[in-house]
Amino acid sequence: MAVSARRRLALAPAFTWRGPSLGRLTVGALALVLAFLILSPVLALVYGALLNAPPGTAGTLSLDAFAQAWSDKDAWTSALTSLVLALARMVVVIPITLFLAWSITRTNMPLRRVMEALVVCHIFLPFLPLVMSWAVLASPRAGLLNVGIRNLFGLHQPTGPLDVYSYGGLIFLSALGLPTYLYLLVAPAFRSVDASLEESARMSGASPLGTLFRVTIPLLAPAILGAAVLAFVQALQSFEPELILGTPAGIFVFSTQIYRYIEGYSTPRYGPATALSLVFLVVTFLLVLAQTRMLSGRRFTTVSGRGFQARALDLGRWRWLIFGLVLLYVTFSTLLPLVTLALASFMKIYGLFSADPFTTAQYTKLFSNPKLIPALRNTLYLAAGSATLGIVLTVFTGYVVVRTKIAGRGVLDLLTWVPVTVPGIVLAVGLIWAYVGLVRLPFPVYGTIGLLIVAVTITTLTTGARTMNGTMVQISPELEEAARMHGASFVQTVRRVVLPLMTPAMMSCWLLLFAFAVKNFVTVSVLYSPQSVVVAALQFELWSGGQPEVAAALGTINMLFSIGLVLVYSLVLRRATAGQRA
Amino acid sequence: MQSGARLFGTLVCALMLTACSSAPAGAPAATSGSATVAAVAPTVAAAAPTVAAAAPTAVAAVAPTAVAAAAAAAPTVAAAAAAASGQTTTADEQAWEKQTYEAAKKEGKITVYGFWNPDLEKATRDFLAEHYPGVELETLTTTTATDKIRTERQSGQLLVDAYIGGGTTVLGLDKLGFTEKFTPPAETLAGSKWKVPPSGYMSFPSLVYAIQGKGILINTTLVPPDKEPKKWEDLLDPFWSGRKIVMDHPGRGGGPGGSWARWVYDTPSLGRAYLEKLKAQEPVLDAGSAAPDIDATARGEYAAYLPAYPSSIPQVPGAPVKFIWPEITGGATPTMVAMMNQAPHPNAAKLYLNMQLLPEYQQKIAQVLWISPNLQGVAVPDPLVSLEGRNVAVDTEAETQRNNDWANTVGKEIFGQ
Repeated sequence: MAVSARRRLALAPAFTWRGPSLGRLTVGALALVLAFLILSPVLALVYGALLNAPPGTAGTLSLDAFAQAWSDKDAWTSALTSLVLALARMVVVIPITLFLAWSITRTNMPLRRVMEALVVCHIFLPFLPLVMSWAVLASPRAGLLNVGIRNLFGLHQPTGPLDVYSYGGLIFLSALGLPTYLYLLVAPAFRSVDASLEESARMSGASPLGTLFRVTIPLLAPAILGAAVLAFVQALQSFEPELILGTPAGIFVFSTQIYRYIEGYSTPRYGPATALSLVFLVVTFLLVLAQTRMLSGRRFTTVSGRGFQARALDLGRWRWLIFGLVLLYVTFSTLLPLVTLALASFMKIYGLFSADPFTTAQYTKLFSNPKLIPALRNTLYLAAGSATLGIVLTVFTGYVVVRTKIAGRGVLDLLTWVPVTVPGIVLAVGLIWAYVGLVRLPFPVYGTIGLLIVAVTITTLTTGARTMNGTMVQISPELEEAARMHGASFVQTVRRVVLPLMTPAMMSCWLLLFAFAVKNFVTVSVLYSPQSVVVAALQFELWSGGQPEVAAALGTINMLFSIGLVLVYSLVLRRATAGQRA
Repeated sequence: MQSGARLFGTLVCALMLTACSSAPAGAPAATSGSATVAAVAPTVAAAAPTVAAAAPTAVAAVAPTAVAAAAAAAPTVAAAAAAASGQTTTADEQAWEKQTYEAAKKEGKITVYGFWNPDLEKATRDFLAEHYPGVELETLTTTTATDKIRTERQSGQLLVDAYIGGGTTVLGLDKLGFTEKFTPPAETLAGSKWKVPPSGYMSFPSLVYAIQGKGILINTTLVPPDKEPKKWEDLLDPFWSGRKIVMDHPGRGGGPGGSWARWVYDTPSLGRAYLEKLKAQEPVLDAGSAAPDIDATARGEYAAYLPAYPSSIPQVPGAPVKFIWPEITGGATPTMVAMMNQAPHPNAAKLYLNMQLLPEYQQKIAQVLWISPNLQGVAVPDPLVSLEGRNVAVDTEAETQRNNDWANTVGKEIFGQ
């Protein structure tokens, strides 16, 4: 008899919590820490939206901020644009994600590991130079691709056919970027599907695509739906492409509207900015509730006490077509901008092919920049610190939510969704409200690397939680029950059964959080000081200060480092998969 | 008239009396190798703090009259609204420098927020390393300096010593009570003549170190010679329609686009009608930093960028671009620095502000950045950089105060979001 997910959580989990009282206290403390970290900026935002004064200054409570925001027709326009763009992105992004995950993890497509490394590589690419690359490649008049296409086909038009400064351009960039991020969320679940289920379908006459749509995808509904919700929210909050490419095209979305309230006036208008961000919160919570209801009534366990098989599906001669499609995607999402960026780092003027266009001077300028070493050091602290803190929080949270019946764990799960509902820049503002306006600590907080770590951990918490929860759901409680039946304590069970099974996901998630921390700019832009400058901020300073070539050089070095991370990730994943097969 | 003369006479006597008072602490024999301006005023040794205290009084007494008259007549560089000069001797200035430098060395660094250009930053670091070793430069590039500094202070942190950028932000910092007036000795060096009084041009604490006139940057491979604009009206030619022009968004507060468009609006021969026609040309409006737009123009994505400064040229060396001064020069922005009160490194801050006005530094930034220094007589690397004979109208304080509001109302109304 099928057991609903909700009922399964309500029933006795893998085991009845019989841990020591210290465990309960630990869980309680965890909940408090999480609630404080996540809710303090959110509640501070609510306070800020109701206050008619900047953070830390006296004011009176009123609804003026909401009135200002919602009487501004630009706010309504940007809201509608956000919704339409996000939906359009979903239509494009989800199928690409599923195709990538299926072809790489479930089939005998050639060079799967190389393709996977290239797909994942994109996640680690620094964002600002990536957008710059596409501005050079696909800007309507002088874009390299446009010039090439016009020459190749003899088109006698001054601009086009491609235009990255358009709705199509923004959707195109999302199609190249979001699937790689979502791939990391759904790929572990794709890998864990028992191949015998698919083989049974094939033996019954189903085609490979039919098996994909009627067996594989339904089995992976939790991971896919969770990823889809995240994709929609990420698409709704998308900021950097809209800021750099959308603004010149007159395209404004929610996030850039909020940014305009903060950056576009001599005195930031925090009230309307936070009022709009609260709307984000409500919308996303509704999405989360909808997701929860959608998942009720389904059984999703595929990693169980029985042995499971992860054999690749034989595509026959179709495997080369599949490979070609994946290679095309990887070329546009990763290889082309990577090459463009590296090329730009050796150019005298970014994108200008004059008679003597190349030089190594940009690297000389970069290495002589006194901010480089501090930026690299701070970035390492920031990325490692936030990734580690994020993993610790999300593993514990995931276990409590999925494996226990502690009262209030549903609230804990909802808490992990909160960060993704708040745009990065507004979260930063919320942290300012929290630690400047409301909470006064006896040591400096604003502008320190510690605050950046906290801020970035919060922004990546949802990603970590979805990954850990998704992996936890796939692991049947039977394994823990077996351990308990053999006399293992709670700690022993977690240490010797749960954590080993979780390790591949934990390690890949750590790398993902690390990469996100390195890339993060919109959050740190408001919070960093000269003492806590990071690589992303330095890249922006170089780009906006008129040295995009030096920014490209820094971005190239950043990418090479990231490629190293990808290789490590692939190695980890391969060993973990081999271990599961053994 | 008589009362004004009496007041002036009293002030001169007060100045002479202070100049004749006790000798300075630390004999002013050593030279720093910087200012070499010939002394005109009596070379009487004076205590540096006294001179510094007296000079602002003299400047403050004289400058408002000059500034008010200049403002009423739309001040131009040609009119040379100079501050009082010849009040500080080279020896006095060097003595003050030496004393302040010793104190700044103990502080170790100067922290400056604002619109940092990497070339400006390098030039500043090099100058500090050469003349003031031991005083390091720490910078933060930000477009929200006002809010950032306010937030830092709210959290009990005093991190910044000075701000560098435009008048709108400096005014904003002053309104929050964060700035402190300081008139460096280099301003009143004997023989120094300024295009506008550095510390007296605005009534709020600020130090104008450069003036940047606005023109048009074109890509010469996309613009045939017969289409090169000679006046602003030429941009209304059909040749320029259809995303050929990229502009700093005039509806964005605090940017050059807003101040330029406000100037156009106020210019009788151009006015609102011109702006509306320009908008009809479908220019690309960018609310971000100017540098990426200049790069895009250099590589041929756009045929023109405005409002541009001559300093656009060194940003894209070797690119097929040309800077054009239109017949009516599009207003000029005073670029300034401001000192913070409660600065964590106050002596380094004073040294930094004084440095801005030293002839050698003014020469350096003119050469490296192609900006027009406030000090008259500084050699420029190219005739394009010079404001001489261009009838440039420098934004007054009233206009600076008006720029932001105009951009957020009329600017946004004409050019949209």
